[in-house]
Order: sequence, then C-alpha cells, then structure tokens
Amino acid sequence: MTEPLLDAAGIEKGYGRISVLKGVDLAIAAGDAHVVIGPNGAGKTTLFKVLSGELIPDKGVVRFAGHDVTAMPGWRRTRLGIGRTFQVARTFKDLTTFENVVVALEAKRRQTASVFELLRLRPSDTVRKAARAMLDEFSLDTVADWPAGLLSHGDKKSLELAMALAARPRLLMLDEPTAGMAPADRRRSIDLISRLLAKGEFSLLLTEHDMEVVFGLATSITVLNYGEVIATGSPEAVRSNPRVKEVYLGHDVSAS
Amino acid sequence: MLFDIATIVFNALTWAMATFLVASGLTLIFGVLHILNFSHGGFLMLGAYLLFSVTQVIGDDLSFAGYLAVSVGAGIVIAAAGLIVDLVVFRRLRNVESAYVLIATYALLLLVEGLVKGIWGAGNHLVVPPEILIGAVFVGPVLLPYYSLFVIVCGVLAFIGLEWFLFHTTPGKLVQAVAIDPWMSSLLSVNVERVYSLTIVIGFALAGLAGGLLAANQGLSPQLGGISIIQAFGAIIVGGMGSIRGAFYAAILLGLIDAFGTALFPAFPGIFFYVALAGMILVRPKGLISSEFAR
Amino acid sequence: MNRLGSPRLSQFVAILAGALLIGATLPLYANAGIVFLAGLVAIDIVIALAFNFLFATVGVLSFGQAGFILVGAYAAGVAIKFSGVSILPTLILAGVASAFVAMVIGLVALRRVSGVYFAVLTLAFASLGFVAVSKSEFLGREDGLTGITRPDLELGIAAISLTESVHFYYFVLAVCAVLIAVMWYSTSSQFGRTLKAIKQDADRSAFLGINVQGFRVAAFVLAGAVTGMAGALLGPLTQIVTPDLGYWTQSTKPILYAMLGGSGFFWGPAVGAVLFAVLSYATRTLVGMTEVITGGLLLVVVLAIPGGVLGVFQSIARLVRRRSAR
Repeated sequence: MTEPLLDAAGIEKGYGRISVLKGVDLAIAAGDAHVVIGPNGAGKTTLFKVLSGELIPDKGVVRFAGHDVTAMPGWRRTRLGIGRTFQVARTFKDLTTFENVVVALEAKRRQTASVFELLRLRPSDTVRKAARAMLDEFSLDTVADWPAGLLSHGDKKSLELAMALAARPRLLMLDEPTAGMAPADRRRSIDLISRLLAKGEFSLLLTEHDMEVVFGLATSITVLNYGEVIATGSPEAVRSNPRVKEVYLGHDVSAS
Repeated sequence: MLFDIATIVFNALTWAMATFLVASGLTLIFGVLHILNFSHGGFLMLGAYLLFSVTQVIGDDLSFAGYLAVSVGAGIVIAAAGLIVDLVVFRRLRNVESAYVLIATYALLLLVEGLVKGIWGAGNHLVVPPEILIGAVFVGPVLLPYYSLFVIVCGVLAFIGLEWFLFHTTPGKLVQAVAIDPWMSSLLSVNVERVYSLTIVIGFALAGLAGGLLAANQGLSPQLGGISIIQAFGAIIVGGMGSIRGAFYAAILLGLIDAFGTALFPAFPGIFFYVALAGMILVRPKGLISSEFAR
Repeated sequence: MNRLGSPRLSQFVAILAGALLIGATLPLYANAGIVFLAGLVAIDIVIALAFNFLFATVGVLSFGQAGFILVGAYAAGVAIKFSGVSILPTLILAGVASAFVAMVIGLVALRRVSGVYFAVLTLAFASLGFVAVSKSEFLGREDGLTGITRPDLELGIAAISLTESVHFYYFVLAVCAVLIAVMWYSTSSQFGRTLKAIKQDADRSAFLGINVQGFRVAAFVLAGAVTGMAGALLGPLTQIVTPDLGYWTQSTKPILYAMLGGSGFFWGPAVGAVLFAVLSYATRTLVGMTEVITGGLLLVVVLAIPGGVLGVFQSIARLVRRRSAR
C-alpha cells in the first residue's frame, strides 16, 4: 500500500487538566473522502484544529505528503496543500466577492510568480480570468461586486469554499460545511462538493453532524468518542459496527 | 553600600506607590469597561491643580487633616467630571473599535492639558505639604522623608481598600461580575449601566484623590498628566490589564528596576522604566496576572 | 471598488499633480514664512499617510510614529554634521536606519501583542528613544544637533545647491511626492490587497497560505522607513534636530490628521494635515490654545464624524446623487 496523504498518529491534546484527544490515529489515502463524526464534545473540532495547524498537539505526529507538519504553522501547511474552511464561514467582508477570490488566487500564485507579476498594480489577466471562472462555477457571478459581508449565508459558504480551492489543495478540510443551512442550501452544497470531488483533484476531510451529508459523501469514516477513535473504516463497516451503534449512531441509523 | 541599597529601595517604593495611586483607577476602569483611559493622567493633574488653587485661596499652611480633606474634595469634583465624561464620551463609544476609544481618551487628555495651561498657565507651581509631612526621620543611617512615607502609606491603603471593596462588599462583587461577563450579569438583572457609572465614579475619584495627595510630591506643570499616565500604563500593562493586584506588584517591580538601573547607570535616568516595560511586555504580553481581578 | 476607497491610478496622479502644482506655485505669491510652513505640512502629510497605512490598511494602531521621525532626523543630522555626504545618500541612510529599528520592533512586538497593547508598546519604544536621545552626549542631549546645513543634491555630474530656502522647499516637495506615491502604490497593489485581507481576518488569510506575520512586519518596516525619510527632511529644513521631534505628543499628530480627514480614504490624512495647518495658522494668535484646539477637534471628530471630513463629503455626494436620481 502507498503512504497515506495525511497520517496522524497518537495525537493527544488537552486544555489545562482536561484532556480532549487521547491518542487519536487517523490516515487519509489520496482520493479519499474521509468524514469524522462523533457526538458533541467528542473532540472533532480539536482534531480538526490540530490537523489544519490552528493548534499544536501535546503529543503525536502529523505527517502530510511525506512532510512532518506537526508543529508547522497553518500558512505553511496551506502552501504544502492543505486547504480548509471554518465552521462559521469566514470571508473578507469589506472586499468584494471578486476581490476575495483574487486575494486567494494571488496568495497561491505568490509561491511561483515572477517579481514583475508581484509588483503589478492590478491583478494579472490570468488571475482575473481564473477568478471569473471560479465565480461562475460557484454561482457567485451575480454577486461578484458585492462586499462579501452582504452575501447570504449559503453564498458565503460557497465563496469560502472557492477561496479554499483557489489554493489548489491536495487535501481539503471542511469543518461542518452544512452547519446552519436550510435543507435546500444543504443539498445544493453537497452537490457542489461531490461534483468538485468527482474531478479527483483533491481528497476531502470533513467533520459533520448531518447523517445525510455523511453517508452521501464519505468513502471512509472515523468515529470519535470522548477523544478516542472507536471505529474507522468504510461507511458500511462503520454503520454495522456494534460499538458505534451503541454509543452514537444507534437510533439515528435504524430510523433512517 | 547596604545603606545605599536601602535608600534605593525606599525611593523605589515611593515611586511605586505614587504610580499605583495613578494606576489603580486606570486599571479598574479598564477591567470593567475595557477602556484604556489616556485622560486619567489629565484628571489626576486637574485634581492636583484644584488643591493648588484651594491653597492659594485659603493659604498654603493647611493642616494635615485639611490637606486630606481638600484631596478628598478634589476626588469628589473629579468624580463628578467623570460622570460627565461618561455621559458625553464613553457612553457614545461603547460599541466602537477600541482604537477609536483610545484616540478619544487621548483627545480628552490634550483638552485637559490645554485647560490647565489656559487656567493656571504653562509654568510650574509648587504646593507646600502640610507641616507635619515636612522633614525626615533617620532609621539607622537611612533618611526617610515623611512625605515619602505618607505616599507609601496612601498607596498601601488604596490597595487594601480596593481589594476589600472588590472582594468583600456587594457592590464590589457586582463590579467584578460585570467585568467578567456583562451580558450574563444583565440577565441576572444587574443594572450594568449603573455598575459602569459606579466604576467610572470610583476610578475618577481615585484620580482626583491621587492628584491631591501627590500634589506636593513634585512641582505642578501641564506635563504632569502625560508623564504620570505613561508610568501608570506601564504598571497596568506589566501587571495585567484590569488587575488591581497586578498593578500593585508591577508598580513595585518597575520601581525597583528603574531605581537600581538609574543607580548603576546614572547617565540615563528614567530609561530603565521603558526598558523594563518593553521587556516585560515581550516576555509576558498578558502581564503578571492575566485575567480581570484574578486573585 | 472597496471600502478603503483607494483611488484609481489616473485619479491618484491627477490629485498628486494638482497638489504639487499648488505647492510649486506657492513661492510666487506667498511669503517665505508660509512657504516654510508648507514644507512642514508636506512632511506631515507623508508621516500621516504612513500612520494611516498602518492603521487603515494593516490594522495596527501605532502610538510611536514619532520614534521613527526621531531616528530619521538624527540619522540625517549625524550624517550631515559628521560626514558631509550629499542629500540623497543622507535620506537613504535615514530610511535604512528607521527601517532597521522598525524591523527589530516589528519582529519582536507584532508577533506577540496586538491592539491596545501594541499601541502602548510602540508608545513605550518611542519614549525610550526620546529619553535615550535626550540623555546622549554625542547627540547633544536636550539641545539636540544645531546648525544643520543643507547638503547639495548631486545628480551624476551636476550638483544643485539646496542652501536657498526655496530650493530646499522644492526638494522637499519632490521627495514627499515620491514618498506619497510609494504609500499609494503599497496600498493599491497586490501588497495592499493582501494587507487589507489580513486586517479583516488574519486567520482566514493564513489558511490561504499568506504569511501574515511577514506581511505585517514588512508593512511596519515600510511605514517606518517612509516616516524616517520624511523626518530626515526636518533637520535640513529647520536647521536643527531636537529630541522634541520624538516626544510622545508628536506621535499623535498623524493620528489627528488621519481622523480629521478621514482614515478610510487614502487622501484623508493629507486633507487633515492641510486643514489643521490652516486652522493652526488662523488661530496662531491664541497663545497656548494648541492643546485645546487639537484635543477638542480630535474628540469632536471621533464622536461626531468618525468618517472624517472626506467621509462627510462622501455622504453629501451620495445624498445629492440620490436626490438627482429621483
């Protein structure tokens, strides 16, 4: 078997005396759509922060594409190819939708761009074309000139997704991408994510509450409970895991 | 040598308690309202000038009790000024970015400085301390001026008084509750606006009182406000913004560092305060005691 | 379009050219005193633009900009007094010196503190500089460096004498124009766009792969260098450099200008500086009223018109447009 794209081993993280993650192992193969689920307080968000670079774990190692990224700050991880969104979509509210994407694209290009391009007053044609194309793809073309702060909740989430993808990540991490969305928006959002995923340009790691989303997208699932992994594997395997049924999924799954 | 050290420590403590008197009201207001009030030094200066004017009118041979009474009077006047400032300035800036609030309080300091210049002139004035505080006592070979002892006693009393107020009285506990979580306090039917006003009254009263008590400590000039505010900023930042106890310890620490630094390098008096301040912020950006009113 | 209201290149060039035209024709009809003041205002404008670049574009409040004026002015003063180099190397030296100081402060301070803490820390550093300079024997203690001459402007083979006040005034205008252009470019280019993004959400920026600390430090160094170069002009202009240039109240002048003109506009600080100069000149007979006017004005602006004068103009313009559209 080839080396997984992301490999976290023995992750421990605590706040003061409270230990939140107690030795979590997690591996994501290239091309995977990996979903982390678990009841509230299971440590999903903390794990997400440790993997994305927002927090540094107390113990354990995070490796990404052959690099040890355990203590690497978020912006360097992004440059290596880990993109992410936030639970509550964060965009640059006083910049326009278009400018938001431009800033994201330019951040990516800065790694390779020539000095001449960096010193240009206006965004280069390439960047502007790419930004327009992204806005079209994410159905944001009609609000391109709005300040991002005025966008609807759903549009903000789409915009943030577009910005994360502008960095052309190899692994995209989404923290509850459909949290607080109306059912229609939620479906639209899942469709968008699975359509992007189908292109095979990136792997996916997401945390999620909504079981429809989980089983609609996941190729593999990890179940966290009280900071420990209680099951990991294919959706079918996890669904039929008695321990998972007992502590978490139980009635949810049998009801659906 | 040992006596020198004792003298240096004594001077450091005098400086520290004078600074704490300024810093106490400042840190109280910051802890509760999250306003870093530049004008605090200005109002302290105003208190000192008020005392000066009173001595001009009724003669500068005030008794000790008279001096204290006039200082308290200055505290009351400045507290009233604080209520006006709250109404006209602070209330209108409750939900504005902290940078703008800082700039507004700085403007207020300039205004007060200008007022002082306009009323009392740009020159220096001198306040004569009450007779009982003139002179000094030898403890062993160390000379302790009475006025310095008075400043130290005032500082310690202010510290004990504030700690008692905050931790052992009902209004004090309300102030703490609002400082920690105004929203939750309002749900528990605490009148948050009234607690804010109370805090401002106490904070400004402390400024006015300190101005009166310290008036005879140094010459009065319109620069007094700016000088004292920077020293007090240092104490509350090093101590941890909003912490009375932190400001107390930090004032002592900064006083000692500056006094010993100046003793070792007499060519650069006053520079070690800034060095210590910058160093402390870099080592412990949140200060000695980080949360509001932490014990 | 964005909320910072950065003008387009053509608009910027037009405004700068207009301002330069007014400045350049000033000696034709105004007396020497006014021309001298105009030179000071031009320098103030640059300093205020650099402050506002930090405040409005980067999102850090610096209360210590006077420290960079001090570094620049003394670096230039020392270079002129003790080495006799021409003016352009002097300016570059001042820029490098203040950039270096800004880098040291930026590297240690920006990483650890933010907001009000950063404001007070910069204040402390500037005060430190003030005390250090006023105690230094070499730098003339409280009296500062006196008798600073105006070095020649050496351009290849030709050397232009700047000893004449008017000549030096034109030189000040030219340097300020270049520095203003640098500030505008830094606000409007990719560098500025990225800084605006960082100001609005630093975490989001970091997770786009942006080196947030690197950008912030670079911006702080740039503003420090520009401020220092503007400060370097003060010595030769006034022929003296004193520690008072770095006194902490000096740091608040750019804040006032930015607030007064409108910190949300690129030209806001410039408008504020000119307005304040006119106001001070008009009230110059009211001795000792500087603080009352400065403080009162600043307070009124922050309380009543937080958008500054340009903000008021913008609102009026919008109102008129809406009415005429009806």
